[in-house]
Amino acid sequence: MIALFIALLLQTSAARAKPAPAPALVRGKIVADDTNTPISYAAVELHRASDQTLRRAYTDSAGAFEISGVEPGNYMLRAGKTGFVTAGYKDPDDDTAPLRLAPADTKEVSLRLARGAVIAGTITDTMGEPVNGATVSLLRKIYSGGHAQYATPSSGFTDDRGDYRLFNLPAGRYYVKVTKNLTPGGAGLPVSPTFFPAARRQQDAAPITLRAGEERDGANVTLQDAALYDVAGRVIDARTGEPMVNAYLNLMPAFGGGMMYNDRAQPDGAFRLRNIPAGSYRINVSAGYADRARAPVNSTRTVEISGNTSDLVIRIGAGSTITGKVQSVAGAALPNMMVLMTQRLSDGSALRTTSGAVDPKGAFEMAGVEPGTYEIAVGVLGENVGDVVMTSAVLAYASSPSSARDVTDSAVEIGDTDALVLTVTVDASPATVSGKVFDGEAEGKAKALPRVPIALVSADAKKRAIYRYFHAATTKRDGSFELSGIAPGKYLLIPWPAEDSGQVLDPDVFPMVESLATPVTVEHGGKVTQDLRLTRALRTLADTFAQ
Amino acid sequence: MFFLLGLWLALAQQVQVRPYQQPARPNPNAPQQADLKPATVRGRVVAADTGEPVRFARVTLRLNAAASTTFSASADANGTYEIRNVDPGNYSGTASKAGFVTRNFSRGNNFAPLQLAEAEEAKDINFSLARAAVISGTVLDDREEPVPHAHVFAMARAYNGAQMTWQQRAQAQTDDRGQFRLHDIPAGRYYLQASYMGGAIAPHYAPTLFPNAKRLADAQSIKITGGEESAGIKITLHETTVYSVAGTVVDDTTGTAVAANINLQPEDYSAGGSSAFANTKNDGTFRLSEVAPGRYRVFINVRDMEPGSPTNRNVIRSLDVSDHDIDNAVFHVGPGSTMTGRVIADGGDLPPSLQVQMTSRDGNGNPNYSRGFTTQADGTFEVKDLNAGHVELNVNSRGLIMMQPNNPPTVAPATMPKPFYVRTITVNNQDVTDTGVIVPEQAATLEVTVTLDFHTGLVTGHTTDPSGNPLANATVAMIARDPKKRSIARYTNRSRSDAQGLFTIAGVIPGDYLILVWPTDDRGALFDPDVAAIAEKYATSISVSPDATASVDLRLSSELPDLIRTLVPEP
Repeated sequence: MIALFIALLLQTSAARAKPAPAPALVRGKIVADDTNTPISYAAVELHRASDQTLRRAYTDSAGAFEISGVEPGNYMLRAGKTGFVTAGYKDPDDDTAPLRLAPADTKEVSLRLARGAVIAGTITDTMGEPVNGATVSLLRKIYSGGHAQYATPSSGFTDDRGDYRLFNLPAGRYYVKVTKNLTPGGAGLPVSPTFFPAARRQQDAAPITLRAGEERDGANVTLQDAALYDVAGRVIDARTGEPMVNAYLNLMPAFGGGMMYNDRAQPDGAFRLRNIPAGSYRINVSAGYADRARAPVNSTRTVEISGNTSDLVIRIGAGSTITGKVQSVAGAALPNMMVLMTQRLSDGSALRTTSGAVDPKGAFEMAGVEPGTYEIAVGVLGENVGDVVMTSAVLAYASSPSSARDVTDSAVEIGDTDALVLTVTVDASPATVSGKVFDGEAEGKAKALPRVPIALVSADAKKRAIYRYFHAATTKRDGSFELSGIAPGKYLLIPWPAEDSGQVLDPDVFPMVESLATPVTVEHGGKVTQDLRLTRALRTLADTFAQ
Repeated sequence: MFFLLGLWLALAQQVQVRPYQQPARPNPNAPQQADLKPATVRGRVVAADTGEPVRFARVTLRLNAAASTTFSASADANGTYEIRNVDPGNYSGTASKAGFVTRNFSRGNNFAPLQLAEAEEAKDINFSLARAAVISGTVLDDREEPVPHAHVFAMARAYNGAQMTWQQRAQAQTDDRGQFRLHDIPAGRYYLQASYMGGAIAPHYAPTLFPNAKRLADAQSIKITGGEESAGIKITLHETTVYSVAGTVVDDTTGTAVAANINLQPEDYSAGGSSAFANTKNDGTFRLSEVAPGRYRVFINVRDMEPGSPTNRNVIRSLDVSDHDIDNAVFHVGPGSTMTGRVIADGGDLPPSLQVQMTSRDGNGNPNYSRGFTTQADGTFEVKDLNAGHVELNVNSRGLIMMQPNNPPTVAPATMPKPFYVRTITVNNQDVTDTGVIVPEQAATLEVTVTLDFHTGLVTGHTTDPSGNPLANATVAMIARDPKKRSIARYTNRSRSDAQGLFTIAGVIPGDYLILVWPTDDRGALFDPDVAAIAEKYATSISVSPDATASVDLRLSSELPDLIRTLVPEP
């Protein structure tokens, strides 16, 4: 009787409470990458983003750790210790995948930590005096989709002795850049951003190559004084030539950072800015019309300051009108598109983008476009802006269709009050290039290689630098790759085992890689299959240029 | 991604600057070249203590109308500088050099801007820089290993009226060796706090105050003079276990749980503990994780209040986290307390309406909120929905004009009402005159009586310089002789002497005071007990009786300014 009662009780309580999933366990070892020795008292963290659960353990003297009683789920695992660069667990098949823990799982995870390197030095000015509060940044060249950029993995400030120290750095090749802005309540001479050891331009900078755990002292930089110039001019109405009223100008460095300068113009539209350091700037002007016929406007231009300027005339106009149509290769109208015009700075970053929707008949109109040099592209209306449609041709004319120029791969210069007509032809069936990468050294049946970056670049030197003609992918687990949306033309395919295959376009790298690349010809709408071999020559070359 | 889709052109071709075509004949639209006759500015930069030149100091003039317009130059090895080609205008000037405290241009004690006329050759625009000090050292953990990325703050005591607050004067981060360097600090007395704000993988550390304290009250100060480096300071960060706090918010009016937003602030702000916040689910339950041990003020803001509900929307409670997780915390919200009372006058007519200011402060003296109310003609008042906490009552003693405790009162003209002071404040018959009103968490009714006394005293006299000559526009400060009364704002008075050196302080609470000529302009240094202890030695003793005038002549001491600077860093 009692047994029945107890059984009933157990059954009821079991029905009421679902048992919690069996906990998982994570254990492993943390070792130093260079010496292979275990790292004791390293912190190991398991973090689940969904509810901020955090478990932490420390390795013992043998470098071993164990975290038990972990709720099953997806976690990020990291390990770190002072003097080492923190590293995270990486799934062998997919860099971005988390550590998946199933119920009652036991996972062995071991990580190798690279020793952190240090760069330190003193910043002085041209008088030899220490510079207090300067910003010291480390730059590393990285390739993102074929486009070289400089990332800043670390930065710091100098102290009253002019000393700085940047630590916990991964091994690599770095440039040191120093800047110092005048603080609102401070005093100082405007200085030009300066690269180690005393260069004003990035291209004259000397790189510093750090090995894992290396301490490099004496990376000293002499901050160069900035050349200062006066900039004067007028803000006028482009229609009438009359001054704009209440014009307010704001000048800021085109590439970010640095000081801003501003001035309110006189009633006659004249402005004067004093002591502006040489460089590239964006000018933002807000002004009203003298006859108050239209609302006040805001206009952005770029300007290069390299000398005293007394006649910088900024014409505020109604802007230019760009009209035209978007059509398919066969001539049919293509609705639901958007025409995008992007104005860029010399470092490739976008200053602004103007867009116009394409109507059901394929026509579009953009009014009030500000003067500048623009690239034309076409996107799909309403969808992810990253999905850009391939243009196969862009023709532009100002006065008559017979004078139309092909601006498919060049930028269009737009003035104060232009009227431009564009015909944009869209390629609805772009080609694909696919294949496999095999180990080039193996005798007999070659092994397909996963996780190898590959690049497809234009064989035409004039087109090579244009992003449209650059494609990249990484081979999957079976060693295969597929590239789509390729414009017709002649190309070179290269497997490049480095951080980013975009590095092949680096002017130092390409000449050496060209002869090792595989040529492919892509027809309109074609499907090309081409296997590649990763040879020792390519591997060695990639190692040489490793950043 | 999309914006990387770019045509990589030689975009060295920027927008072409179209040159303005200068026409042959005068054009009314031609830009007005202002007939600028530029000015020149010359001067010297010297060290304040020795008068020695500050070599290669940088001097910058900043146009006050447009701060982005600057003119700068570097001084030579003699500290002499010259800035040419300066547009006429109104400027602030600043001089700086590594190792010195940056200073603005000032003539005497006056930071007036520099006005430059056309073609003016301004000279003797000099700067006197105080040497800066440095505090340096290491932050280690319990195992004597360096802690990188720890934040170290140098804090000084600052007084906002009688309220002490902690002012961060400098901060630094430790490097991979655990080393920090706090530099460019003016001479003075500082307290150091080390804390770890997270970032790299590391355990939770409780903030520590040098040498090894949890609360600023137990911390040891470091006194430094200009040009000195206090090196080798060692601070140990101790690992602390953190706990979770889970519970409910209950509305006492309805008896049920209610949705609210909760914000935990450490009671002792000074130690830089971390705050935490959580929003309850709609069922009124919440969970906070990673809360460090300590006492917290809990700020609760009720979401979705029923209109017309007597429950206060914003409520303050307290919470202690010690050494275990809390699973069942309950925060009650409900109606606030009510204060009813009256103001009685002794020795004068009760003004037709009085402004009363209630200020609630946290454990560090920082105000949480401030509310004012006005009394009825018969002196009665009622205030509802008072939040829990400690409340000061300040009764305006000049009719409808709100007077800050430290504003130098001017000589009372005949038309102004007779000055008074607050003699007693009682709450439910308990004297809280100098302790303030404690409003409990559980809603209550507090009966308050405020007694005003019109039998105030008057102090008058003359200020003279160290040689005995009349001193105009000097600040006179008067503090209670009893050190226990010094932190109470009502017992501190200030005034300024006129062009002949005559000063008057009216509305003084009868009692015993110390009075002296105060050499600086700052509003609060005198409230620092250590500063007051120094001031005592240079002050004159004075007794003020009701309805009477006390006279005293005061001579400025020449030693006092430097003595004050050993404790109070310059602003």
